[in-house]
Amino acid sequence: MQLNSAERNNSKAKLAQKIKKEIQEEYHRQASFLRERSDFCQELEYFLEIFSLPVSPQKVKKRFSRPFVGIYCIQAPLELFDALGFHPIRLCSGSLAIQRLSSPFLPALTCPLIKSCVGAFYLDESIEKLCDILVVPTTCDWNTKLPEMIQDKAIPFYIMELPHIKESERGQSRWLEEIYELKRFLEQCAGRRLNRSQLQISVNKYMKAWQAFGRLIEFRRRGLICGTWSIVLANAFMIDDVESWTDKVNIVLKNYDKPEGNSNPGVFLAGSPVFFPYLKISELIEEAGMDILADELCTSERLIASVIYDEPSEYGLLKALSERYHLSCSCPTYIDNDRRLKNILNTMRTYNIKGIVYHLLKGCHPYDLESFYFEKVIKENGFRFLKIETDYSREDRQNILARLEAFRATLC
Amino acid sequence: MTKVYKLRFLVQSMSFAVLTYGGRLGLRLGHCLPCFTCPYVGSCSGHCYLMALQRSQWGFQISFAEAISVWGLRALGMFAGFFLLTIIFSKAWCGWICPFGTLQDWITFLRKKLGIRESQFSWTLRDRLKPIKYILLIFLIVIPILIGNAGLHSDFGLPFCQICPAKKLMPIFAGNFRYFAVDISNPITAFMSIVSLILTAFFFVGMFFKDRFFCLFCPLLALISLFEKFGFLGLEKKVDACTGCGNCQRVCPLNIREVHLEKKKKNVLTQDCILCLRCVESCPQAKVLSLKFFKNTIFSSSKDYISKRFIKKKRENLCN
Amino acid sequence: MKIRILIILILFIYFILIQGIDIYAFSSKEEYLWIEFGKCMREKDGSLTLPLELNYGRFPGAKQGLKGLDEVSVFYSLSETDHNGKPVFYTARIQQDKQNYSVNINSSKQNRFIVFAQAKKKQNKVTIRYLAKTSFFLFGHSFSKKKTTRIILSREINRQLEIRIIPEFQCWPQTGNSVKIIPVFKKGYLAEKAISLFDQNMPQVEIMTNEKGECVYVPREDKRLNQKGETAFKQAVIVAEEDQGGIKHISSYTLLLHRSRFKNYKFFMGIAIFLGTMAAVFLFVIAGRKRIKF
Repeated sequence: MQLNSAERNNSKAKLAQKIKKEIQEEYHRQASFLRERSDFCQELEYFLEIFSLPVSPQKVKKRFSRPFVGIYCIQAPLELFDALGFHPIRLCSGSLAIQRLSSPFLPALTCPLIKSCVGAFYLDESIEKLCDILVVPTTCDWNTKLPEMIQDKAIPFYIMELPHIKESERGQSRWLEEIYELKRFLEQCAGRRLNRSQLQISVNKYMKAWQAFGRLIEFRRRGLICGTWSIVLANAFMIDDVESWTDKVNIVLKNYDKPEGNSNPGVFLAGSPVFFPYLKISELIEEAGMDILADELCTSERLIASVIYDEPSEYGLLKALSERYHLSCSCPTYIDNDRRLKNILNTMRTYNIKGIVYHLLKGCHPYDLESFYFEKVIKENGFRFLKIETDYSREDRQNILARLEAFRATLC
Repeated sequence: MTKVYKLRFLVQSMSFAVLTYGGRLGLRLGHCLPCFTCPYVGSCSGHCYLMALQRSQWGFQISFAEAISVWGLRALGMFAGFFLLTIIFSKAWCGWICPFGTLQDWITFLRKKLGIRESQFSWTLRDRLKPIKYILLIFLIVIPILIGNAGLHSDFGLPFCQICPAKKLMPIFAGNFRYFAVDISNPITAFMSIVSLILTAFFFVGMFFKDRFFCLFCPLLALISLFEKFGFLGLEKKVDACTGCGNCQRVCPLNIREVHLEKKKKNVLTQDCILCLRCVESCPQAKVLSLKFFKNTIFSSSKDYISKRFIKKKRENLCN
Repeated sequence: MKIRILIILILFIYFILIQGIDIYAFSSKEEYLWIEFGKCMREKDGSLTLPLELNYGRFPGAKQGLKGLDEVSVFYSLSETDHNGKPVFYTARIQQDKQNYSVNINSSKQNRFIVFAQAKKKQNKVTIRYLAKTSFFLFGHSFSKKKTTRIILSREINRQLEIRIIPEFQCWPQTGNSVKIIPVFKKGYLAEKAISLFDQNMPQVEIMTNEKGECVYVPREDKRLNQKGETAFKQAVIVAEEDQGGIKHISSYTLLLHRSRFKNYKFFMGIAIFLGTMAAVFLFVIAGRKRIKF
């Protein structure tokens, strides 16, 4: 019996080893694919290097000296972690290979992103396992249930209950209470009290990142930098140190500062998140001869917002933080989210974007539910709408490409 | 690009100096200014219209018989002056010119320096406070009418001035602490002065813990807001482009929620707005909020402005 | 209500027991002519009309009408001067309503008025010359350009004994503010002269001028006036007389008095209330903050 179990363990370890290699290959392949692009420049190498980190956690430890906090979803206030001496990492995963580790324990129609995220806990070493704390805001059902799915792994989860109504006093004050509670928890972990001026410095750091990111978006709208690269740059923000990321983005943008950009028909990319190495959708859109001039993905344009505070008191700062991560977030899990559609339409009108590609990961219910209403309203407003439902697999590439090419024809 | 808050600070300080000390240089700006330039400040250069409104010479303390005569015309003329000034600058009187508002902003500035947090009102409380300024406005019109016609004791004259905290606090800047006294001439004056002292103390502490605390109750703000739709200045919002980040609501000294929550109407100049433009300054979406003079945009929100206004280049500047 | 009753009671005791003795203490004095202020009226055209009543007898109670007085005339100046630098005087028309004689002074813009009334009386071969004087502001606001016709007084005025008040024009004459009283006789000063002062609400007082011929008078706090509104006023008549053997001059000046503006201000009481309330509100806010979670 003992032999048997040892053997089983051995074969498990072998499988894990094999999958680990596959994951590394997957990341490597995607990175080299990006390097081969015609619009690649040396400055972008830095960001591709960032994406070698998830597959080699030891490098992460060396690179960032501070203790790590893993975050699922964008509602946890990064500035707060930074001010208390933690390095926040947003744990998204776009890896297909890693899903093989988790799929036996998950429903068949699980959101691919969650599948990959859960899979990371079954590796013997991963960024997830480096984190001292894992913060989970209860956004969609997948995320809410995430701690339960991997409870046997004894991971230090901290759950933030997200009020799903934003524009009410109750919702806002409850979220502020959550932020305060998180602050207390982090103070305990860090063993020191939150310093007001330290938090101000952190806020300023992230504001600088926001400024750089704003420039990136502006470049993208003008067609100077393509959608895929902007998504990659934004993805890198989720792992990298904020200050060096800001510097590098500014350097990259200097390189792309040209008077005129591409003139392919522009599209708007909406829907489920896209994360390295899963860049299939953006690459295919570009392959079909369209530019992603704008998106509203939570791994891209919605990632960084400005924190503006008028009150330098601790309460004022935390309130500013709480509202930035609650009110200004347009996650589809919110109930009062009518502004999101209006904003999309407004962006399309402003930048003369004629069509919208609605990207949907199979099993991503909030976006799926919304897509029908979105389709109706967007078409009513005279725009083209294309819904693409897919997952991390590469098999449907040709099929999607054909549909996108047909979509392009309708835009001209 | 000039920073609006710096410009505003400059304009406020200058108008404070001019309105509070201009009288010493012989400056006379009339009796119908739509801001709290208190006539009890010996060296003031213009008078708050609320005083004229309550007086017998230019206001409502007048008998009905006298009202249909030159005396009524004089009151009307004074109102015309007020109306004209009001529609030109609209609420900018409150946010940019009013010396009492400036005083409150200075006190708030001090509180922020000390890192003391602002008191918060719940949404219901904030909404319940809204009618108070209109009630005060009605009282300050009805009491003079009663004095003029129904034989109410004339010591109730200038009822609002008697209880106004500006009457006590503003003369301090001219070295006059006299109005902190209780006037024991008769029971009415004693009552009124004790009430006013209690109110002044209440507002003075309130001002420290809350931005523009007095403005929440200001009857002049109510009076200006009655005519704001004729005003040349307007605050407009591009509702479609608003992401609802809530910055405008948070930075607003009067905790106005409408600018944030408005989803249909273009005009967001609400009754409590003092046109301090903090919301426009802090709006991260391009041209979502803009200040208009007739149809011309004077100032509108942008990312660039926010970067310049809120991002500090050096670390040292942060710890203020 | 109780406070009011209490104050009335205190006043009652005050007047009866303490001040009662002094009333009419100098009633042996001569009677005199005085000008009494009426209630200022606003005209439709924006001008102001001030009725001034002419009275003879003893202020305030004993009015006798103008019986037995000859050559009663009233004239006023607007503090403007002619080319010789002398003040221009105008005659005012005296209106009679039964026993009451009055003069209406109308002002369509801002004016300073000095009003004189004079009369003569022969009594036991002694001629008594009466002169009554007062001075005041009127702030009329008429838009009409129409000039009021005024009749210039041609003859010389007999004002040998005149009471001067410094300051002559006060924006807000009030109790508690000192006024200087100078009786002038034939352009000379009268030293060590007794002057009587008849106040509407107070007992009569006698004051002496000093060697320079002037005396300083501080109108006392008047509880009865204080009870009235801020704009309410009372009058006090200052009387001086000079016997010249055969001709006797009796002159009066009517002083208008409002209640004191600032003499009743209790500063420390006010500051105590202010600071006390401030402390209470402050503590309330702090206590409120302690209770909230964040």
